[in-house]
Amino acid sequence: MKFRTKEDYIVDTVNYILLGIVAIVTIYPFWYVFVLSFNDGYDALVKGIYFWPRKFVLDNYIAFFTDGRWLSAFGVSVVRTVIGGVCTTLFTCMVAYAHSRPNLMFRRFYSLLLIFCMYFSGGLIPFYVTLRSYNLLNKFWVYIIPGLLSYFFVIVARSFFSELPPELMEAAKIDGASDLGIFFRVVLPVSTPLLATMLLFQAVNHWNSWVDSAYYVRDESLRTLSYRMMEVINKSNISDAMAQSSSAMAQMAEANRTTSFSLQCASLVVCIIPILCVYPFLQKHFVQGMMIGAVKG
Amino acid sequence: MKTKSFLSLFAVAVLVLSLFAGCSGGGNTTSASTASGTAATGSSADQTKAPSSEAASANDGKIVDLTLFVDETWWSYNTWEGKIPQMVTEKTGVNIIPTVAVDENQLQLMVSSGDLPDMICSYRFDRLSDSALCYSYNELIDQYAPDFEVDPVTKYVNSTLHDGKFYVIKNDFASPQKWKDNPKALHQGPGISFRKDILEGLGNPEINSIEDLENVYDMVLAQYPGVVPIVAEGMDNSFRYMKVQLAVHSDNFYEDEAEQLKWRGRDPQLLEWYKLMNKWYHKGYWTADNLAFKNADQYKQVLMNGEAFSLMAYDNTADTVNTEMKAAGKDYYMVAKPEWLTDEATLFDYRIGWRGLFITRNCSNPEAAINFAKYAYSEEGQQFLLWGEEDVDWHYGDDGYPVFDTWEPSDKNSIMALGVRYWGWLTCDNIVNGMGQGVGYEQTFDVKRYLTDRTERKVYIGMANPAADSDESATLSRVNDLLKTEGVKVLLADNEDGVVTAYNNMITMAESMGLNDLEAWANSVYPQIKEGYFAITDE
Repeated sequence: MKFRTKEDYIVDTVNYILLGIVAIVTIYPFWYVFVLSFNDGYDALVKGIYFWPRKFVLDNYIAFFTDGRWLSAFGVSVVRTVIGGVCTTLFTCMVAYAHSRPNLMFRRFYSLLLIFCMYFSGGLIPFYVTLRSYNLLNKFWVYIIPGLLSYFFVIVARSFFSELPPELMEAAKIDGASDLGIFFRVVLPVSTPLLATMLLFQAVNHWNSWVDSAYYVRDESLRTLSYRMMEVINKSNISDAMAQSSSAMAQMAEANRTTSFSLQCASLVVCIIPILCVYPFLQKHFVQGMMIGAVKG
Repeated sequence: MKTKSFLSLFAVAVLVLSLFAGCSGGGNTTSASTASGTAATGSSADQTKAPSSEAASANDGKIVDLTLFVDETWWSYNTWEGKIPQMVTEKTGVNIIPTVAVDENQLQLMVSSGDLPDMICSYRFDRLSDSALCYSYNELIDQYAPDFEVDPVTKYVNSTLHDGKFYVIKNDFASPQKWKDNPKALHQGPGISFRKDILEGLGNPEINSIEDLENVYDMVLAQYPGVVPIVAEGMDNSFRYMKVQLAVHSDNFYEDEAEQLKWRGRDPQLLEWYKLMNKWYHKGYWTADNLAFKNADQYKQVLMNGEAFSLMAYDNTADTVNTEMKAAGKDYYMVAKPEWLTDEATLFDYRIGWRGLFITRNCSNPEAAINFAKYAYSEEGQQFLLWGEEDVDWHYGDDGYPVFDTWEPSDKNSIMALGVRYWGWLTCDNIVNGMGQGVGYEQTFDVKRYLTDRTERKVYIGMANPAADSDESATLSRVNDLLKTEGVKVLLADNEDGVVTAYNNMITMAESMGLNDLEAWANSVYPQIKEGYFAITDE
């Protein structure tokens, strides 16, 4: 048993106190949003709410779950996150595995291309025109296909795959497995930490993404949850040009009389909960996955 | 070395080629709009071609779907639903499929990519008044709706300087003749309201001048610690109420004594306003936090917490805030003060509207669109969209103002259920809208009455608007931004001398940005504008 000195206890105490403060500062905003989501909207504007709702109501959640648009957006977000996360992970791993093979032709060229594309892009308008030429605009697949390849994770996954013992692949080849068979039956099963990490990152990315829903989609039934949240958040905003007009400001003030803040909190909670639920299942792989590619040998 | 040279050359070549990505085939897709709410994309080739006569009489009793993009993130309606929209569809044969902007960049992307909906409701007049992007109302009226009457003044003020056509009929504008013909119409503008309980606690003092107001604020500071005398909107509109009291010009230009146009930053009354607000800041009447407010929720929060005495916002804010205070169970309310504080108080209205309905070149059915616009801009259409069905949802009261029977202006749920009011804001002028704005609100009517009596309209000044992408437009944008950013320093200067120094610095900076050239441009077009305006009015 390690002998602990007085200094050890002091250091531990200070550490615990500081970490406790950090934990409170980190967790409390989430708790505050959670509390406000269960508080009456108008009452939420009055200060004095800290740890518990002052006027407990379920109205905000009722408004959320009875509004078909929010439910539809929730469904689209879930489907998009599941399909997008899985497809992006699979696609990226396939590219990274191929790239990790030393006998791949033009390997260096692909590396340079990946790095170049990671730092440079054509811009929003060329991208929009490209999507239109592929007939992806206003379709569900505009959420999935453009994001199938994650450049950053190709590099990470490539490092991981290159560290796998080559004997595994050779043994499978001797047994008559094809390259695809080796990838799906040998490589992927031993890559659980990598897959978990990638899946989590891509899922969060898909879940939070609203720009594609705003710019590339006009069908209201294809809107995502994060888009709806931006809608609510921007209900109180007016452009600088319009802000010069008293009439415009008066109209906006009249149109937005009912507070949307508590409804925003309710929608925030609904947005956060699924990710919070999924995270513990992936956490045991996540820590190991974060170190992938960081330490060689 | 050779390999490295080759690679570096190759990388540069790819970089140059990537600059041309997406350049070819811009807008050549020809997928037509469908009835299920998808975006209308049309060929942008030959965009100056006159609308095809084959599109004529497309309605023929059928309902036409037209997509509409509303370029305002706060717009309340996401769907064209409700009794009133349905009846408008039956009358016009047009079903609107709206999309509301979620941020300011959406329209820019649509314009740049050529992927425009059938109609756009926007304030970006300079950008969209372009024959390559939108039909002019002139050509559509000539082709499809020769009975669409637009009065000469409205036509004139909406016509662009660069081609003399009008691409939109801006809302919230009416000709001087129309104002004379409708003396009951009311103007919109800033207003002030006070907490009734505190006023009563102070003995209901008279507030008939700025000095009286300062005395009341001093009493509040002394007797109500923790209560800030003034809370207002954020920086862009802060204390506009006091600008009206001091007769400060708030539009881009004003006319000086020599009948020359000057940028609003040069208004001598603006300096007086800065001095007064600076004095009030140092006395503790308002806090610097107020300048950072971005939306109404922030000043409402201060009011709801009982931390403010007076609110400087709009003519209807007292009533709209009271509705929320009542819902929140507060036992205090705001009382508006419509009376003027100074003899020179004036609301300068040089604007020629601030939102309008554009019909884009991608419109799948321009005939249906212009006929919809014809209805929506008519007095009957405006009343229908704003107030509902006459003798069912509203009727004229004995005082000549509408009385709303099936909905309440203060009850947003009843408005949304009927689908009334907000769609009318797309196309209303300030006569019809002004008639109904004060109805249903206890205090707003009085405030608007006072505002209307002291409104000075010189719309020909508002017509001096530089074209989009011109140097003048860029300069105007820069100096207006300067007014916002440097204006904070002027307001928060250490003392009156500091205000004057900071203000002079701001003007010097504006001049270095090209202000003199901008004013020279404005004065080069102003005589022509005035001459054209007075030729068609009786003023």
